[in-house]
Amino acid sequence: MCSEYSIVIAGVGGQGGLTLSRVIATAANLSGLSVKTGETLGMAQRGGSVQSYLKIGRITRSPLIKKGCADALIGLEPLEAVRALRYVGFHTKVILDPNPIPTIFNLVGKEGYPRIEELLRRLEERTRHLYIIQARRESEMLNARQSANMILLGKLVSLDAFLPSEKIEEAIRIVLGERAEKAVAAFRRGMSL
Amino acid sequence: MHHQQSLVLMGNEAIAYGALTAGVAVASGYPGTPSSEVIDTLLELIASGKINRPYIEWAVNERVAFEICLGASLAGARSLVTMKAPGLNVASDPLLSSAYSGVEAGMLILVADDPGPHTTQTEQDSRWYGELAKLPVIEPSDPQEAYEYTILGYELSEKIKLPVIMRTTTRVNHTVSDVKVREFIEPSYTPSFSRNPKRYLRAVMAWNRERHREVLETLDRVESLAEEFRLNRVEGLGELGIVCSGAAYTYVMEVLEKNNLLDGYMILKLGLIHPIPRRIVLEFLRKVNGVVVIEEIDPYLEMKLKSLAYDEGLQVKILGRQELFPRVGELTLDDVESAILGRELKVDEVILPMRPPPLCPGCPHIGTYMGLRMGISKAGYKWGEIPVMGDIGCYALGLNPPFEAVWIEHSMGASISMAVGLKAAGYPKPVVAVIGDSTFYHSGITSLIEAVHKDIDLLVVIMDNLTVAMTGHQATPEYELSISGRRMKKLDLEKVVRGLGVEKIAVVDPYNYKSVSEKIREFLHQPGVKVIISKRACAILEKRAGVKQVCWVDPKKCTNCLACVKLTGCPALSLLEDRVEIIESECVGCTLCMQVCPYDAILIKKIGTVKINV
Repeated sequence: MCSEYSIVIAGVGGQGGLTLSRVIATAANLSGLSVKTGETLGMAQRGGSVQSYLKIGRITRSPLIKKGCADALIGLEPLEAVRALRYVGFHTKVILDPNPIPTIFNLVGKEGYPRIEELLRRLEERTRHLYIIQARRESEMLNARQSANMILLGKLVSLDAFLPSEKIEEAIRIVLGERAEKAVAAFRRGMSL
Repeated sequence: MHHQQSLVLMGNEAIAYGALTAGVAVASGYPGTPSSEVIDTLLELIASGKINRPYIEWAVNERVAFEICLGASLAGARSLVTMKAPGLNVASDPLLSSAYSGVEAGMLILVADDPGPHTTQTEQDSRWYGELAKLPVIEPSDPQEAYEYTILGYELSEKIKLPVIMRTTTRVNHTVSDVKVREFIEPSYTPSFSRNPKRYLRAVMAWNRERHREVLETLDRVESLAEEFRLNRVEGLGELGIVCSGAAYTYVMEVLEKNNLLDGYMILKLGLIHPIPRRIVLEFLRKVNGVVVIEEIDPYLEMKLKSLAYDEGLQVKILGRQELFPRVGELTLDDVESAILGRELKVDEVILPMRPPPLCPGCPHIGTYMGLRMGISKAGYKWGEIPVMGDIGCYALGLNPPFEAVWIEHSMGASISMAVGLKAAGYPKPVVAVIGDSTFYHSGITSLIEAVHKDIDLLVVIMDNLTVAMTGHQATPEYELSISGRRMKKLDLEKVVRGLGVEKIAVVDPYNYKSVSEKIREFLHQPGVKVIISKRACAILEKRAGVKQVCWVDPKKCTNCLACVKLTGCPALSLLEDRVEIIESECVGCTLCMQVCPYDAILIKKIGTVKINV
């Protein structure tokens, strides 16, 4: 791997972005690497925008990522992926589940959800590496609905082997305990997509 | 735990581990982001049987937590008190007196500031409390240092017999990192307390003046101790100076390393923030050719340095938050890089639809707000005509659509006392205060005493979800069993309110929103203080305990009128493909949407008991 690898995870509170971040951080530690993660989250239990940042390397300093400098963006939701656009440069791999989660304003009819095509266009303007993965649908087919994020992670690892996949699987088992087997299966599914 | 081990820990977990390595015996606090995980971690370690300590519990508010820890320290137990920044304001009364009493065993005060702010009502820089309270302040820059400084904090505290404030920011508290930790140490002390009037009694002014002098003399010794503990250090041999502390230090090092600029700079990294270590700072200022100060929130170090330079007649140019950075908000790597490299920062922010956190699916507050809206209307007023004074907690999210209910959200407990103020000023219409159960116990209770005693015409709605929900479900005075295993005496909110002298009280179920509205209508015009307790456990807790039924939409009956969506705003309702559907995995079966459907198109499905991992 290169000297440092940085990932932004963008999603909605309750989608499991923080757990995904913890899995990757644990895998980095198991691989003997230093790691820093940070997060930007709203004040509630769930439902608001959440961004997590991860840096993995031989030495890591801060959890923050400079504009345009993320190696990867894992988008758990399309509007939230675009909200993290500032971290995306043209080298950034964007792994996106394109299924939208409406905001409260959308729900009560105060404003519409942006057109998906428009959101994708904004991502494609920034990067040549946009990968659209139907993670939630795939996870339902695997009967592992809570493991959609692991499919996205698997896809990323298949593109950029920033950590050994066996260390990620070990980390999944440590972090998720009894839910781990389905998550490992989802991760492997993502690797093969 | 073996000799030394590398673990993946969040900053707050590292602080908990540090306290255990330092042999902490008593810990308390009030939940508040980004500080809550410290006590949460200690409690989980007790629950899993990994540690055993005399007393680790949440307190009713920060000042009580503070005083518990101060008392424990005077009895010989190392203690830890944790809070978010506004919590230190609540605890500021005992904080200021604590320099006069001092401590016996070490006492660490963790205050978690929130530059941004991400989750706090004010962007408060708690470092100023060091000067105000005449106590040392230390500031770690990452989780590893948070672990080390916690341990050093106890040693410093015991050397000078004063509490030590550890100031952190969100980027330290909530950063997860690899952290090397050492073995935990069992507390070892014999509880004792001896009389010492000059130290402990504040009713004799001559003693207070004497203690003030002693405290100032003690603070003069802290700089040398900080040198001994290596809390401050200079790195690099370059001509250009950077002074920093906390998370800002990690940004500085990252920017310098990535731009291969380390050779050009000399960095003074301060771990002791108060009292400002004069010797190392002055020596540094004499060596460098200009200084940039990089710090979170206020220009605290910058002003200290400028004052020291002025006193010593140094001409060195000192720039910082006041000149080079945005005056508000959290520092970014880009801010730090442009300050160091002297680049103009290009801003290309994306304007996107906001996603404020909604109330959760099946949140009892949804039913309370539905009832409030209907009740106010039944009482003859328009929605938006009667001031709804809000408070700190999840229910403040009632500011968002579809309710747009709360007019003001100020500080813990202020809903009731500020409503009293409106009436005191002669506000002609009825006023409603809404407050959560934990916020009520924290501070609202004293406000309610005031309202009752002055016989103010006021309707108070206590939204009792039986937990501190927003910060992750910590214990309230209505818990019978602590995570620590401690059996607790459960308070009864209705009896408490009645005991305060409130005569008109109703307890309603927010899942029956019409019953809420009926009581609102009945009470709104009545004279004196009325209290409605809208009681139902937080939907997340209910979901974890097991959901027995869910609602579903019968497409044959649904006309897509959207009444359910527009009246409840429940996130379990989905509008994808322009048809209303209920996301079964989100639904807790509260039936609020069903109660408002004009076409009876929403039905109940029994699903046994499904426990959901949320």
